[in-house]
Amino acid sequence: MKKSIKQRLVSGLLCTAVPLCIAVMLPGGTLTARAEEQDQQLTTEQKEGATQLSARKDASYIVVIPRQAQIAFDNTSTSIGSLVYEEGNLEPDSYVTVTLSNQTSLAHTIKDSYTIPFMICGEDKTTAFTSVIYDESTKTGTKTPLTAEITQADWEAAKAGSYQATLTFQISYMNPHEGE
Amino acid sequence: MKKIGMLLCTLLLITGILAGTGETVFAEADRETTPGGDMELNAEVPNEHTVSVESPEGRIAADGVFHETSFQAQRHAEIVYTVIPNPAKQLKTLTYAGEDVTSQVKNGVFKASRLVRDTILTAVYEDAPKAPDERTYNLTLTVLREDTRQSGAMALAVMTPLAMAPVAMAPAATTPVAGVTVSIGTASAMTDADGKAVFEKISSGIHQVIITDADGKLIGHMELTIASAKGTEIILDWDDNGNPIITPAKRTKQSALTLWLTADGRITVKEGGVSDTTLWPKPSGGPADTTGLKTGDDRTPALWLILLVLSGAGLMGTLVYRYKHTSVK
Repeated sequence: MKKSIKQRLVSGLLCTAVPLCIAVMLPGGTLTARAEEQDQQLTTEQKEGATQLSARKDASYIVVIPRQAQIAFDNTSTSIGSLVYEEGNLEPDSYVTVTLSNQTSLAHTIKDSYTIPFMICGEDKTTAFTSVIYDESTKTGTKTPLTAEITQADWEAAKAGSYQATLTFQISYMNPHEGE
Repeated sequence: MKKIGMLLCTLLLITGILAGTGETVFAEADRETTPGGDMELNAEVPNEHTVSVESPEGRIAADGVFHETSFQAQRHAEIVYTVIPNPAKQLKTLTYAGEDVTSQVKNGVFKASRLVRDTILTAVYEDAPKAPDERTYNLTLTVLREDTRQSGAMALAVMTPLAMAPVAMAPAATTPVAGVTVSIGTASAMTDADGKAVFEKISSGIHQVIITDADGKLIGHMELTIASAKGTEIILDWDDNGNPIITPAKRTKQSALTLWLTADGRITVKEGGVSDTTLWPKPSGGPADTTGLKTGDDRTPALWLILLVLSGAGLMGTLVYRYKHTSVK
């Protein structure tokens, strides 16, 4: 009878492990959702006390960064899109920081000494954007609008032609309870 | 063996969960999992801008070229606009890019700052003061250009000893401007090889004088005022902007003006640049006519006819006298 229970247990675990292994091959967003369901199954097995299993589910999040934006000529303030906290499952007190880590000049594509000074701002359009923090209380779908600010005088001084700049965003996760 | 298999399955399970819950960043278009992301910003600054011209009761030239509605100009171009009101009109306000620039207009010329965006130039006109009298004049204009290679060369205005009237003499450093069209109000004439253009029945009042080349490009502009006639002498004066004001004498019927065309598109009339060429004798006590009667002058046939009749009568009288004396002998 004992063997029968063990066999059932092994076959049950195998049935669980195979779809999970397949899930590893799928994109992250989908995978995260399936992993949560499996956590519950494991807890049930634990109650029977047959095998002691422990699983830890790390925090997950999805932040969307716009890839490209066009600054309209002569506009002193142009919306260049938003950082979107699309999905998040953070541990208590932990948070995700999105930092504008680097910003190149808006330089002429032919003669890079010609530049148009600009500033990336948040929603208030006056303060330079440096970073934004999303924590466990942040609702998914939260948007952080970004604008490119160029003064009238700088537009007027700009030589004709195409200009390009690159913004680099870095994302970091901070968990103060890590290691506890 | 079964235990080992079970452990392996468990490890796989845990690995699968951990792999799916790392830091995940997706860029918007084609999603990528990265620890951060780059965003590209692009901007385009145009080579040209559109200037829209609104001038319903006058003409506007940009760098000498007349435009009726709109035109394209290079970015950062510094354009000189010439505003020429229609006859009987004068400029009231000029608005450039929404700014009232009327005070910056000198002699109908407005020098705009660098063109940095699409712009609208709007001229509003009003009725010009009415002509001070109903007299008209025949004008002969001579258009000359200073030779810039001989800087300092000036047109000389001298008084001929006999006629005691100013006669403009072009020094060697001047060139007659031939083959250009001179317009006074609605009248226009082309200059001949000597730079002369003749106009008839030009009324008193304020006139826009413009000179255009063979392509219709504006090469000179001024405002000419012909004041109410008075006195016995034609008088040349200038307004605050340097535009000539001619006050004809009461007897003046025709006049000659020498116009100097400058490289910057101005027309000026210098001291002595106007003369009364009316043929009628002046009242006693006044100076002689600028141009007396000359051989071959066919402008006054009646006078010549009277002289012919008088001469013929004298000749006939002489012949009759001789015939009578001869018959007595």
